[in-house]
Amino acid sequence: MVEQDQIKAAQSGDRDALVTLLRDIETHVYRTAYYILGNEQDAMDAAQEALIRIYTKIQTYEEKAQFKTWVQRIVTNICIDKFRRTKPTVSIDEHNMVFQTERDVEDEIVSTYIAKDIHEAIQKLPEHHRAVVVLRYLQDFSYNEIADSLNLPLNTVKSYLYRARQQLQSLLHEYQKGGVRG
Amino acid sequence: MKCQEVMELIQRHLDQELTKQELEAMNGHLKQCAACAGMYARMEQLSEDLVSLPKVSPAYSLVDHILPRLQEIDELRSQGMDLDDNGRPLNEQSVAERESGLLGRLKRATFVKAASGIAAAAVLVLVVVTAVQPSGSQLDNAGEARLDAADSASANQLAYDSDSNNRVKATSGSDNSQASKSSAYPEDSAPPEAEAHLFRQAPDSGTESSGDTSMDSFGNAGGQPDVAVEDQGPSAPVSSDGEPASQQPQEGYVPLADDKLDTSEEGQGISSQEAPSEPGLMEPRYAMNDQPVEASSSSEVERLETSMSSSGELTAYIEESSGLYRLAVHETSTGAALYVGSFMETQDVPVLTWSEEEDSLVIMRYKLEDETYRLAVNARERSEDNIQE
Repeated sequence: MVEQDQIKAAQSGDRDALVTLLRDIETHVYRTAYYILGNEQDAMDAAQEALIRIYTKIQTYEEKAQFKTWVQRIVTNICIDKFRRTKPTVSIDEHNMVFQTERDVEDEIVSTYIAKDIHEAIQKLPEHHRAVVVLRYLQDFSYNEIADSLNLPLNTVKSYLYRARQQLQSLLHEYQKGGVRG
Repeated sequence: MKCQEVMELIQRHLDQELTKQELEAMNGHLKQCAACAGMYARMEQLSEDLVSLPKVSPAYSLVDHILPRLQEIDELRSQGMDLDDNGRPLNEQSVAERESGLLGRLKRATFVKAASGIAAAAVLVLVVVTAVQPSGSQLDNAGEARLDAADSASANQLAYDSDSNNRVKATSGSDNSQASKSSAYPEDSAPPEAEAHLFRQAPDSGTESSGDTSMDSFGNAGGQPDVAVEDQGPSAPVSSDGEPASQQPQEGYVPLADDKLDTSEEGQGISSQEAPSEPGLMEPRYAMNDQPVEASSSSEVERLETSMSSSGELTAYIEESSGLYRLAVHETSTGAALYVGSFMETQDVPVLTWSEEEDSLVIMRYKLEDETYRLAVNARERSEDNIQE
């Protein structure tokens, strides 16, 4: 995705190289923020904050880590902070209410989930699980890359991913049943 | 083959990790078991849908949008200013941080008692500032004070509700700032400066949560972390004003209990030594679960086992201290301690299992004089049951 030369130039004070670097990664940064935070506005804010942080901290990046995992660590940390600040406690009950009122549109679609359902289901996952799913499926990261990004052991990454998928599956399954009933 | 084992195979199959034999074994089971076949179909569908989630892009170029900000950062730097991670001058940032912590508390306001004390303090900051400013003195922290005043506008609103007497007194007594200052801080609440200090030191000192093991296990444990953990988490590690950066990475990194298990058993996890070396980015966010208990007794308590409920909402831990064990149940997403048991003597390390029937019910089995006991705790419903099996 990003050339090492460009990173080196950016680190050595080449401002244009650094700005180009930011342009190269901004979509990836935004995408993660969007799926962790669940809405465009928060994602815009978080992604900009992440880009500014990358701008100010570029010197601290070391080549032994992959640049993309370094970048994703920054953005996921910012998102999780942001998420905790804005939504300190959301009870499951509130969630269920939202689910029921928004369901009627999707009556005819029974056999396949639609992106909106998945999107909502992802928002119900605990934050670490959500981050793992986002890095896995939106950034195409391997277990190892996720582990590096989130500073978690490999086995924890796997178990988070498994639990997240299981939970998504059960949420979406409930959803479908609701669709049949409605 | 048990259905539970098949579930594991299905999961691994989604990541293309099965050997030929495992694949055959799984398919064999799926032919006979309709429940697992249904699960397999749903998991495959889910996996496909996750892969095809829209690859969203920002509506406008974020870099273009932040260019002026980047320019500003360059200018501040060229003036020799020390900046934080977000490109703000360090002294300003500490104010912003304090405010966000304070406001965060007020917004949550789970504990009106605590909030009202702090709110009163916030009002006083405002009042003292208004009292000082007309006199025209350009103090060093005048800018800081103005920031306080502006940012605590909404805090004020809250303060008005909870402590209107104080507010009235304070606004009228503007020519006696000394008097209002001393009467303004209730004895049990710290003035804002001390408050800020506390926040920055929180990860080490953990003064706030020191009481969470006292009295009964549920006592304050359910609520206190709402204040202590949530506030410490976001604000404390973020502060890059030199203090955290000067710590050894090993100290700054609080491993998850999972870490300990995984790294010691398999040696393939990211150990604290391998932990990336960017000092400003060594944010122990992912270890937030450890905060409430770690903070109060980090030197003695060790987590031996971690187990998450099937919904992932709760995480239970077996914690050990001087050969005694206890059960702790935390909310996974916030890290808030919902239940912290008392330490007890057991023959071996207790074992954790989550109830199949009741989602929030965790069972800790332990042995004492060759008898097996079970401590069943539903942290949500605040029930606790300790019986011999």
